[in-house]
Amino acid sequence: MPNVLLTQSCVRSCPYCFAKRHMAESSPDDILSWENLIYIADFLQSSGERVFRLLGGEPTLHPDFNAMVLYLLERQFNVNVFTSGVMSDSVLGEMAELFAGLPPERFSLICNLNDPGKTRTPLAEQESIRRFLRLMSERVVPGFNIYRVDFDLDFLFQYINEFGLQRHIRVGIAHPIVGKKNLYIHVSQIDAVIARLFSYAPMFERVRVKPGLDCGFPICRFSDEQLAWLYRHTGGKSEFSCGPVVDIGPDMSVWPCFPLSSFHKRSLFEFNSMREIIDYYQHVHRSVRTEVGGLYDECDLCRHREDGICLGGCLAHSLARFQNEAPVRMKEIYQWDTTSSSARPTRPS
Amino acid sequence: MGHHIIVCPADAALLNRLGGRAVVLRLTSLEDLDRAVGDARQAGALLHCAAVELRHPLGLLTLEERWKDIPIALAVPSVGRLRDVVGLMPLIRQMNIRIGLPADSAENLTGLRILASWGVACTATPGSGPIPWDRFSDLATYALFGLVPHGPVEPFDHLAKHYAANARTDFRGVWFEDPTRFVHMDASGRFAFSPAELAAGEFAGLTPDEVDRIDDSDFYRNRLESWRAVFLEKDGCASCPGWRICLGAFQNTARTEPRCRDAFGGLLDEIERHQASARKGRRELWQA
Amino acid sequence: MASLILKATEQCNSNCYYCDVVTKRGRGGSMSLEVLEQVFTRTNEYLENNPGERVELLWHGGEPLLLGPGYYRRAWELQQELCSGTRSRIHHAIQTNLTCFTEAFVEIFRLLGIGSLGTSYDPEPHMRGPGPGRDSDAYNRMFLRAVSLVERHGFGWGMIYVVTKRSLEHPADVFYFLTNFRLSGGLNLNPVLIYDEVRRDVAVTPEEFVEFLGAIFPLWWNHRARYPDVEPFKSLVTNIIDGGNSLACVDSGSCTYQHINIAPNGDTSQCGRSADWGLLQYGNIRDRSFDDILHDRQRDQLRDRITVIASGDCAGCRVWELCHGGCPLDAWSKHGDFAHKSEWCEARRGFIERYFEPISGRKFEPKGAFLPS
Repeated sequence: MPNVLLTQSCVRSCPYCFAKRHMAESSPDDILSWENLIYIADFLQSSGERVFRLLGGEPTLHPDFNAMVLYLLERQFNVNVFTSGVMSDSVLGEMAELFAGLPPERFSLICNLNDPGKTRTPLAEQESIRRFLRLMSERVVPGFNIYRVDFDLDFLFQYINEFGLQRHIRVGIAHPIVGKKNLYIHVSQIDAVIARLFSYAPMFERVRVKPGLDCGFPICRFSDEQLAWLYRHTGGKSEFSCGPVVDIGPDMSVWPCFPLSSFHKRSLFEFNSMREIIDYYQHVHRSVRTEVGGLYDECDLCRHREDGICLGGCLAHSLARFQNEAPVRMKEIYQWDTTSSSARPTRPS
Repeated sequence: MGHHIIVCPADAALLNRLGGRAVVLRLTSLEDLDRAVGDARQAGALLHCAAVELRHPLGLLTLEERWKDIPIALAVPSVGRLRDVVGLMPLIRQMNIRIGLPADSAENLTGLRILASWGVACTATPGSGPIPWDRFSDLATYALFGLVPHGPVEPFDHLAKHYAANARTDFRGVWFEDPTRFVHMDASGRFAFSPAELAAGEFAGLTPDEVDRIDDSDFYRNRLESWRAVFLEKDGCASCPGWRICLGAFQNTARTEPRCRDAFGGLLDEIERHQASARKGRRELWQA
Repeated sequence: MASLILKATEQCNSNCYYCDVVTKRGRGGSMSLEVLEQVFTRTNEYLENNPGERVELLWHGGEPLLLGPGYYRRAWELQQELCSGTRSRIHHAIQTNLTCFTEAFVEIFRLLGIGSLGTSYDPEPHMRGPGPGRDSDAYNRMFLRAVSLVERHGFGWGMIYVVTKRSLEHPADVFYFLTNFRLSGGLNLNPVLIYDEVRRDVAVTPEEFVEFLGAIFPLWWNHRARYPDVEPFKSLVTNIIDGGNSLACVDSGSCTYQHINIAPNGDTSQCGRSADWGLLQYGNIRDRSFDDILHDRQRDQLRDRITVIASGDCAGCRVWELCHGGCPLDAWSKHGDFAHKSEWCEARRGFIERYFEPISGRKFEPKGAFLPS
């Protein structure tokens, strides 16, 4: 299920932001055109995809955001939007009006929320988020990106109760953007993150909220008890895989996921289906994992990795290990787009 | 009875003279649709379609379910707000309708693509301004090579179906301007081969009865041969690589905006590629 | 098949800039009915003596339509009368500027079995047209009217385009114009042949002709299904890619014993140019049969020419089989004798090697006939 970036502009400056490098280099005009949206819709439809995930930057900044959602819904896609919740009143008001009668599964939002106690958030932004949560309510799944070990989730449970959000929290950990400096959870901190996360298990149970783990958590860092708890409270839906998710940029470039947004960047027009894209990036990822199994030395011989249950954590961590080496490994590891503006992909003749 | 379809105003007195003939009713308001169709039926005319040309965007229209079975060519200046059009879509999908937008704006070319991707039959119509030819070419590529089924987009669909190498293909029938198929008639029964010729008084005949004899007239024959005039004028059209599928349809703008040459040259290539791709792998089953 | 080029008249209604007939100002007159009768008598005689043979009668000029439909009806009557047993082996063709074509010619051409008309055309202003000023607008209107009539009556037509200096300025436009005009092609691109200094301003060199063809060839090659009949491209595809054998007379090296040019007064020669230049004159049809004329010993020079140039001017040429040294009359115009290759050979080879082979991706493989040393 790929992500489609409507724009690379954003209204926030999250300290962990995966998109930071991209947005710093993008121009406000770098927004997805209607023609390209339609092409992507056709591409996904022909690939059998029925869910359209819209991302950014902040996707609601796109001048035609609501119209594009309407368009996709009319195409019978279910639309899922990743948003900060910070948007103009007019966009929010129109969104509430247009999609009020739709079942939540047709139009849903994942709102990446920062702890106002720990992440500096201007008051206007907080108020905007609250307005958004109030209006969108049951369509919203709160999301949280862990970029520091001493994170708190209390505010999320409070929001869920206060605003009637989906009783589900999507938890992700900030990964390194290879070759750049950003705030992320180091490998040595993963155990502490998991421990802190499970310190909230009673709270999850009490308020009947389910956790959802985003990609990149290595299975070996969970105890059997923790895995059992996860199984019981997610219906077995936890996964320990690592991509490719496939992001499609406004200029029709594709990359495996945002931490790897400069890695083997290609053009959507080079491929005939999502399957081809996924196969391509899986091949590239396998090549990397041949060089290094995963986050830990034990990953090389791990049977969970052999069985495909866990892929050894986020690939971005693995690639980061090669940065200061002489380039003597497989060539797939070194195909980075180091220019700030790569050539615009063009449709093949 | 002649084979020409008569494009005419929905004038009851005129329609009474057109019994047994195929007609395209020219309307400027949807409110007249019921009456016009009723008058045509009463007169025994065969309704080819109702050509309704409106001044309001598509999204601002009110469509009625009872019009579902009326073949309609709806010409609007723009799509309007998508949220309004979405509200009309359930009914549009049931209707026998082609929606025309002037091709002289990038927004309209986008609008055509949006509508087509929703399965709506569309037509790019000539506008009053210059056509953004790059966008026009993009729309053609979409119409011919879209990844998934979509509504037909004219004139590309017509060209894809009817183009034959070594022949001229006149797509202007999608605008009701093919002299072998359509005549344009005014309320008094005078007719010409295009709205412009009708407005200019270049009549091919003065009464509906003459339509039946038009094939034998020198005027008609000369009209069918009028495409040759481009070779006397030595302008860009005669040496355009795409001429055989354009036939000077955009001759008026070609002098000031010659990029139609690239657009139609490229379109010709794409049509041939489209046809070759359609032929590939097709197996002709033997007939008993 | 014997090819009779019947110069039925030297009169012409146009004043084409590069035409040799114009310079003769119609001095040759028109073929009388007596001479015409002799043509059919000799044709029948030839066909009776050569049961397996056929004859092509190519009506030529000047402008052959100036003779009027009545003339051709008389020709048909003579054929019916004098060739009653052999007329099924007579094939009529015509090369005309078409401007005089009317409905009146339709029936008689059908009777003569003419299904397609050869013509030539040049859209360049003031290169063709009546009068001293060459009113090309008038000419073009007449031509378009005639083509419309030709097509309406179901005749085919093919067109020669003579490449001049003016063509070189816009080869792509010329190509598209001509192929829009005649949609399947039916087009033969030939270089203008100028033999005097007065009209040297429109002459093209072999190199310029190569560049002209080279500018057009990619346009044709990439869309040859769209424009199937464009020469010299089509025959080169036949010869180089399809392994066939399709060469025009100037390239085949085999015109020696097949052509007879018959002037209005019945004098014969090898071809129109040989008649104009007083070369290879074979006498009058009043006095000699076609068999005699076709086997006139003077023709042996042309036969021998092939052997001489194959080991001389053309020795080592890899495209010999596609050219055979070109037209002997071209050689004569340059060197004063036949035993040389035509200057246009360089154009043929140049085009094949610099454009045809690289663009098509196919190299010509000689079959080994008449291989040079």
